[in-house]
Amino acid sequence: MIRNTFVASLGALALFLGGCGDDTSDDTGVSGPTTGDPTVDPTVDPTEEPTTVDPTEEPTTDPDSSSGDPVACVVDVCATYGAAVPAVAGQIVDIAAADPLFEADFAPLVAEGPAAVDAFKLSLANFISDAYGCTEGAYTGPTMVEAHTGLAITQAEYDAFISIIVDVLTTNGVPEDDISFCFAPTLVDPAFVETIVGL
Amino acid sequence: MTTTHPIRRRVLQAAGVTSGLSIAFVAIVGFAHTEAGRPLLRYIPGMSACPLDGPPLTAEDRMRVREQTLGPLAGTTPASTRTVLAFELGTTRRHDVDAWALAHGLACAPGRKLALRCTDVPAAALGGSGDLDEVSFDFAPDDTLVALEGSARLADASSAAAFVARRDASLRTSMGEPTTARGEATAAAVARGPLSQVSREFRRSDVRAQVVATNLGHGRFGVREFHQLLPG
Repeated sequence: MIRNTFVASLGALALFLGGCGDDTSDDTGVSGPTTGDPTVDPTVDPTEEPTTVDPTEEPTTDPDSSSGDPVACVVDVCATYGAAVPAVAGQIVDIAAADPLFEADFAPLVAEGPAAVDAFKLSLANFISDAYGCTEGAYTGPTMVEAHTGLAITQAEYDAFISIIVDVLTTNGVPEDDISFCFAPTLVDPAFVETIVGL
Repeated sequence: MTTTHPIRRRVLQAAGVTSGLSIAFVAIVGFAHTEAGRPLLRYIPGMSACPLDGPPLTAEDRMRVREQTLGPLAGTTPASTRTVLAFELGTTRRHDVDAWALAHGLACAPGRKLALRCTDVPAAALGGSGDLDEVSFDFAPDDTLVALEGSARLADASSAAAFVARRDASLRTSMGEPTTARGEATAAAVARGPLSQVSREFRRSDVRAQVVATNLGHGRFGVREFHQLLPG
């Protein structure tokens, strides 16, 4: 459950949804990284193994992997990565804003100034945090389909944004197994993709 | 001469007004779901518009934002060449790209946000890359090429890894050692699991380039390459 909500939130994050909420909301007390600082300190220590693995928890089996083999997410994603959400959201925005494929999308927001960008990052973090189960009601934006209808996002753009997410997760030291087994299943789920691409 | 009963007339008027308002409502809601109409959401109480749906910037403002966004990503030494694939950043102009597309019989049209997007681009048209499903171009106000992005979905990890290996070798020749290198460009590394990724990034003072292969799950593999002219 946690795995699915977290990866769903990352998918939404990937395609700007989280930032489409109330970009002036600041009542969560969470502060995002600042504009122009793509090297924010990650909360996750790349050299440190996740310490909140619950050994008593049964691995989640997802038969819908790329290879068809069972995959297992063996970490409590919220406990392990929840604190890193604001930093991760901020870094994804920073990287996407500099990516040639998304630069024009973000340019009007960047032009509004650092406060607007930071509010956007905060809104993204709030969305993830809600979907993740760490907060409730922090995000006040539209649904995924509502947010993407009319944007005509292409499959190539979706794929490109997924690659940005993977880059950020890797940069922040998320183990490859966690990316593949905890974050990937929903992000590559065709049903999920259909709620974003080609609307 | 016939006269309509006052009550019936009022009912008809009410029905007409209701129908008109309904049609107008549907039309406005429908328009608000188009790209052109989405900014209208800003004016609907309680309906926060996506900040990314802001009004488009002027070309000059976009270049200013580009400087702000890309400036921090610049490396310290210039690239030995700005030639990428069949183009040269900062030199190739829009009409050159149009001529290239015409010469290769490519289907090109304005992209969702970028100036030009060509589909089904064969390797022969790119002078070094593999076949790409899409190649997008962006230009400065003076019509010179400032960004080039290409991508493809492949059916096997070997091809995806080979793409990165081939482009990595080429970029090392033109730009030197990568600034960041993640993963070995091998089929095993790309095929390891969903969202396994192999990437290389090159940051120079004037150019930034990246090549990446990502396992997209379900037996699909995405490859991507982009080149940007950095401001300054």
